[in-house]
Amino acid sequence: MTQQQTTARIDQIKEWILAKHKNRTDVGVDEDLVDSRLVDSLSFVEFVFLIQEVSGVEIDMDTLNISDIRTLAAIEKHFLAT
Amino acid sequence: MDDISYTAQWTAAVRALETERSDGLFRDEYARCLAEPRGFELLDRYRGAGVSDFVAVRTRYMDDALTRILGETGIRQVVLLANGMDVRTHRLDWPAGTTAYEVDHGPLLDEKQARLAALAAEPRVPTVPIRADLAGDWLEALKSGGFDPAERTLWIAEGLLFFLTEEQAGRLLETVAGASPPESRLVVDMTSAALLRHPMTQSFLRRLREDGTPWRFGTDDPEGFLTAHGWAVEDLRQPGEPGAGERRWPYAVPPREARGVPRSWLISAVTADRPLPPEMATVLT
Repeated sequence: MTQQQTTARIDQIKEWILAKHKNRTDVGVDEDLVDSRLVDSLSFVEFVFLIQEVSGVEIDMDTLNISDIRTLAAIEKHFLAT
Repeated sequence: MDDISYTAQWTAAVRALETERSDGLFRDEYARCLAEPRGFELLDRYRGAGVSDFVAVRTRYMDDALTRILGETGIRQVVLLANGMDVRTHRLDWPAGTTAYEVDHGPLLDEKQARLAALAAEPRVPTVPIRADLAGDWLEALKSGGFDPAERTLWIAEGLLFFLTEEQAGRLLETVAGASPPESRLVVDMTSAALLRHPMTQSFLRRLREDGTPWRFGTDDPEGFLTAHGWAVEDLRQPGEPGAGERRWPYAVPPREARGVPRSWLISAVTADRPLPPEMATVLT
């Protein structure tokens, strides 16, 4: 996988977040998505489904380590950097 | 007022804001006054777990369920359990001949009554306040207030069960079923067990704990829990489904089969067919 493809995939995730938060124009790669309430307990399921879809990695919500999806950088590292 | 009463002010604040939305699901003209003094502060404190949207959707679901059930079944005895600053007695259209009982802490009932009186607000159904603690012998107090356990009843338990332990929640449902002839109804909401242990809900749950009003009980099998305690589910929806704020709920509805998902249940149930007590069964066979 090239760097460019990885970037495009993380952008899909960023776009999903921005579409839900019209007051935002950007999300920092190290910004805590949970603390900043960009993802909450109710959008979480949809968010995990999105990461699954974009990454092709199956995620078990019962055993998911939340720190793996707390920031865009973490998502990239754990699910997209293949 | 005690701590649970502050959560009553919080949900009143949700209803006040919903009333001010152009696409609001209902109107509650009294909510802003009933939310004082702490409701709006708590709204901000508990923000982020989708609870405000849930309270709005739940309010409308229960309004609709109450109106539908009274219309369809002819039930005319209604008990609102720990309904806090809810004013369905003043907001909804009630069929003639209905009596509503509100079971809650005395100081809360007195405070609500005083605030509504100051607004010159009159109930639209004969309403009997029952000053009792749901952890104590509230059923006797209810009967003393005129409630007839031989008459079919609609029970409303809104935003209540998650404050109880599983054992207390089960016992409450059984007490209510035991005071209900067949074809009585229950409208209730619950949270999923997964919500209570989910990492994304912990900061919200921690704040509730710090404030002395922890959420304790949830179930991923609401049908099974109700059946085990005397009730059969007639209608169960998650927020966002048709009939449960489908255009208002800002989130996707998680499929039922997805495990480990924080969710809420909105439920209408009917008294389950109970096996005959042994002495009756002997007589009949």
